[in-house]
Amino acid sequence: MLNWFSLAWGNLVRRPVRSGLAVSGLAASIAVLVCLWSFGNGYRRALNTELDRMGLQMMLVPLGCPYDAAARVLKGQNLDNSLPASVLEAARNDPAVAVAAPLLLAAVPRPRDGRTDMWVGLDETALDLKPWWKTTSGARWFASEDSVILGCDAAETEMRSAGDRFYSPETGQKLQVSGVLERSGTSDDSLFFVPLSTAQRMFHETNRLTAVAIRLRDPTLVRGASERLQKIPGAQVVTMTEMMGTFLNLVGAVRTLSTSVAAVALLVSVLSVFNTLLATVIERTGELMVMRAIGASRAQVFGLITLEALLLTLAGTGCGLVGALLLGPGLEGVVKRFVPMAPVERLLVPSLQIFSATLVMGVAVGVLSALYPAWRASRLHPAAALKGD
Amino acid sequence: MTWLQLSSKEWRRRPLRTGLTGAGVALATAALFSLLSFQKGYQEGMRGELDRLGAHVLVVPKGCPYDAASMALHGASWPCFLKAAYLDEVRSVPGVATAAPVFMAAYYQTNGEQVVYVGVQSNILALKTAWRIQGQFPGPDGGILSGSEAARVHGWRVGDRVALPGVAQHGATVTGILDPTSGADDTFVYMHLEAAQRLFGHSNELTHILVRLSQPENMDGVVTQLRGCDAGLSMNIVPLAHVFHTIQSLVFSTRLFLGCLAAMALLVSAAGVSNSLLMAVAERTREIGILRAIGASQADIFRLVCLETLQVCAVGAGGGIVMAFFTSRIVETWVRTQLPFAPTEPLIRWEWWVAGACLAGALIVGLLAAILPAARAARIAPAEAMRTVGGRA
Repeated sequence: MLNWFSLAWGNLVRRPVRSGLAVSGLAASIAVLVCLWSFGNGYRRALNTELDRMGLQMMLVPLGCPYDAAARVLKGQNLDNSLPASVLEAARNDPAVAVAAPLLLAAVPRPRDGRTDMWVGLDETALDLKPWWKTTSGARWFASEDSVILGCDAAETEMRSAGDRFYSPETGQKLQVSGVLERSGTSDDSLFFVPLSTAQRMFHETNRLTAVAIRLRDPTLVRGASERLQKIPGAQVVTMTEMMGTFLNLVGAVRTLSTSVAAVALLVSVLSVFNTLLATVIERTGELMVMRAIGASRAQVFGLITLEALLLTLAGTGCGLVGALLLGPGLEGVVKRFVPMAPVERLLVPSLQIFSATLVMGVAVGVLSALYPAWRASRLHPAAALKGD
Repeated sequence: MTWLQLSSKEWRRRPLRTGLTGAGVALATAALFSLLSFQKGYQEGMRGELDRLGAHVLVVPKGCPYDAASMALHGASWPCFLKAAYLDEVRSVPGVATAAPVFMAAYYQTNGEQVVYVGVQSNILALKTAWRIQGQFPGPDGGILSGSEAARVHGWRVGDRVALPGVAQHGATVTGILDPTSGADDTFVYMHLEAAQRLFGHSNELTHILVRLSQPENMDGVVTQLRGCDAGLSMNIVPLAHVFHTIQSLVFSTRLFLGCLAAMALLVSAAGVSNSLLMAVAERTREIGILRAIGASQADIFRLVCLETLQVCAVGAGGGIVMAFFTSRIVETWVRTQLPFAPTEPLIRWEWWVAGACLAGALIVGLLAAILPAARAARIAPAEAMRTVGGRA
């Protein structure tokens, strides 16, 4: 057995460029497939746990396209409409509501720096909804009315750390940095957080809110609560189930499309493996015939070629898996920027299930692409070898 | 010409290998082509759909599901209603050119087909400037205006007295049939607003209002005023340009991602092409040596191998594009089931520049793939090649 193995290995190594090309094509498509696969699973799981942790059941947003509004709030973008502060009172008075956290978002365009700063006004109820909020330096909450907490990217671009003074020229507001948030990989990283009342003063939005995030005493009360809250003038309810359904649909659609493109790439690489094997068989016709002449059976020749195919595809699959592990974090960064509601957690969790499924797929691909070349090799007639080339 | 013949001869010698290599290129190109033309088709389809709706702003009841815009575009039964009195308030806002009230209801027939009834007033014609009606617009006392597709399915002609599907106890006269609009209107059955409200028992209620502005540039100002009017707190004002932008930006953000994947597929196929050529060169070491010995220069050999590659890539890419075009119906049907907000128009359309770009992309990638094997072939020393039997690669 070991002899056959080393024979097959030797044949592959004899043509390093050729084998290398076949392996790299396979590896690239496997890597992408694995990334997409585990990303899709990771997103769904992370979204679920994050929403669970937040315990958020619904949001009150201003009238307008509610889906658009909810997506903007979660991505930290400005809305074109706002809620009166009375909505917050009304929501807090509802018997089913446990926490109602107000939010005020404001965009400050900085055309000279080519970016737009997003400011978020919060009150202390926000901490109930974001229990994982961690600051690398400074306090976890605003020290005074004139405090600001910076996302880590915001702190980097502004070159400020906890305790520093901070001046916002557009609004003329003098602030002191209370803390800098730990990197989370989400939109939080680039935001400027200030107390709600300060934000309302800074942006001349006295008594206005962008949205109210709501946690209920009991999640099963959603139906009744949303009916009551829907009646608050000027506001509308978007439940998290509705929103998550939409996001999962969108992400699912993109995932299906991208998986099918990756599958095409895999198919192409399989064709390449097939071609490589076929060329090997043709090239080594003489050698294989001699093997048959000195006593190798048809099955043994068939097995040899299949073994070569298996080694080739296993190498490709292995490289692909390693590539996915190396490539994953980079790809995740790109994907998180596009995906609505990108969760804080890592999305690309390598799971045994995905790895084993990929290995099985790799082996299946190898065996399938070996069938014809191996069959062709096994049919070679030993007598022909004696006649010469 | 002789070089061309020579290069094509090599591919004929190994038909299976050439076929497979070409198939790889074809698959990758087909994926790229479908994606590119789909992106374009989707964008244009969305725009066309909104244009055909003819409205700049959509007013829908508060508390409706988030996909109200999609419901108005594609037809559905609405779970919530607007009071007809709101219409006057909307009309009184300066900058509103036309405010067309709509009552929409959908019924599923026993065969699963949906019939959408839309009650409108004749001012809808100010929005739907592209409509051409055979016959007349129905009056308040009955009669229907059928979309061309709906009329074809039910076999209706102008003047027929027909039973209304889904509400069988009621009959109506077909007063007019719409010429095809290639939009959702084709499948709708229009009637007068009052007749629809009576038929479905929702007098003085509307499902949505289509608003056309006198100056579309002034959208933001009008939207603010609409939200500020008394009824503004109980209705949802949806500027359609926003909806369009939101969906567009979603599609756009996926474009880069999907494009990268398709490019990767093309690269993988390039690796395959490179591999096939390496084999071909290795097998022909002797032959190339002879060519060199009888006077071919290194550049000639290099060019020969590049020419071979270009042939395979051109044929593969061409085949891929044609394949993508002919399978576009199937691909499209599948994509439609995956996507929210799919416009009714064909999504994958033939565009010369997309086809050209795909072909060019495949050829460039093919040339890159040819460099290594071609260089190897060019370096073959004539004298040495005559001595070897198989060659090295």
